[in-house]
Amino acid sequence: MKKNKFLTTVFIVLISFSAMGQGGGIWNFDWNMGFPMGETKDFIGQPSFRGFSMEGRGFVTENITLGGIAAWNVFYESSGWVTTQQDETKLYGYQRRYLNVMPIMMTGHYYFSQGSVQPYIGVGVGTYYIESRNFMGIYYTQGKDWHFGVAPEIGVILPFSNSNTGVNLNFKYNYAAKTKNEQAYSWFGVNFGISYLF
Amino acid sequence: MKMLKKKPLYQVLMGTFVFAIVISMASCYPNDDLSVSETDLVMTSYYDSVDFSNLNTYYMSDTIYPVRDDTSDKSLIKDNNLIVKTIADNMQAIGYTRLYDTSSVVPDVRISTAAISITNIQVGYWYPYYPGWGWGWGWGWKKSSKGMDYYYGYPGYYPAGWWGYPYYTSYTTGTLLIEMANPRDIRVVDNDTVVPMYWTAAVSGVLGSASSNSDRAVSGVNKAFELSPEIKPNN
Repeated sequence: MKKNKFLTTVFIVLISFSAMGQGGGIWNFDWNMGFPMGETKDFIGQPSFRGFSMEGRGFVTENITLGGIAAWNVFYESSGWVTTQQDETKLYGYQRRYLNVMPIMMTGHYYFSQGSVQPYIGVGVGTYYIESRNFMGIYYTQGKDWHFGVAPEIGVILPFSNSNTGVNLNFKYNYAAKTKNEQAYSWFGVNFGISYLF
Repeated sequence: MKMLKKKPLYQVLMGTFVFAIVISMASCYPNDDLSVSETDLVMTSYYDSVDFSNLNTYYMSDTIYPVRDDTSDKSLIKDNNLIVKTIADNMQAIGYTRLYDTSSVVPDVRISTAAISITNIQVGYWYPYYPGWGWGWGWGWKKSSKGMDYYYGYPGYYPAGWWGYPYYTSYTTGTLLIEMANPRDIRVVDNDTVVPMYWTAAVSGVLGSASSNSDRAVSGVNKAFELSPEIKPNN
């Protein structure tokens, strides 16, 4: 049920942004890859190939769009049999870790050209909902929180000839700030997918 | 040509909707299946202010105290003798001497064992829904007296089983508890008389076949001793 409310919110946000794009805009549907960095790497070192994002951008000037993005990435790592120790207590078990991340952000982008190759830079500001689970056997400890986050990116849209669809490729640095209860998370995203230009 | 602009947006929205439904069914927790032996956990804890080098003898009952959901069933667990023997072998290997008669000699420590079995039942509802994958929904141009009209057919999406199917899963976990305490080391804490645990070990896992349970119990006990070099009397 939580997921349905989340998706409904996402649609309302994105649709309202597309309405703003009187001068046209871009919809992106991308497959997301994530490569952990910093503190995230201490928790899970394996990259994520399970992720997708939906993004709507509307042109407010000739070269600038404002928009919104919602995404979902899953990081997973199995460490197998490990022994952990805290003070005089030792625990031996089969360890697996999960990280579920849902960024929801407002974005702004600047396009260097709008011909057959459309390179852009941009930044997203918003929130990351992050749920972490650390399993030992069938038992786990869980952390979940909303983190403030920023995500600068650089990318390019390559429209197919004589068409209003194209390919989107970008590189994004995701940073979710530390909260009162949870650590900060950061990862490098490589996103690849389809663009609809209108 | 102006009207063309509306069509891609609609197509895009429907595409998004279908895409999102599919994704929402995708798993948050991939690879969430464990084999029975991968559910095993061994936990040990020792009391660090105890000088284990002064301890040499121990007493252990041949009965592992069974705790079951059916509390009236006090029969010995299937691997009772095997597990007692495994503990005894490990204790002997690290240098303890087992006493069988405590009427005249008090052992340095007593080992108590228990086996707890808990059955967990989970009830859930499964709501399957299958959106139609039809990308090729029909639309076309129809000329009418008013000029160009356009219309689009709807993609076939048919939600199946909105009412949900209940499912039950149950699994039983078994936990073996080993506790070591000194019967002469009695302390009073907050007006309570307590005997501190010198060493506690727990071996826990989801129960599977009888032979796998035996093997895992034995290797769990061995692992517990392997994790506890601190309790060796001849350190």
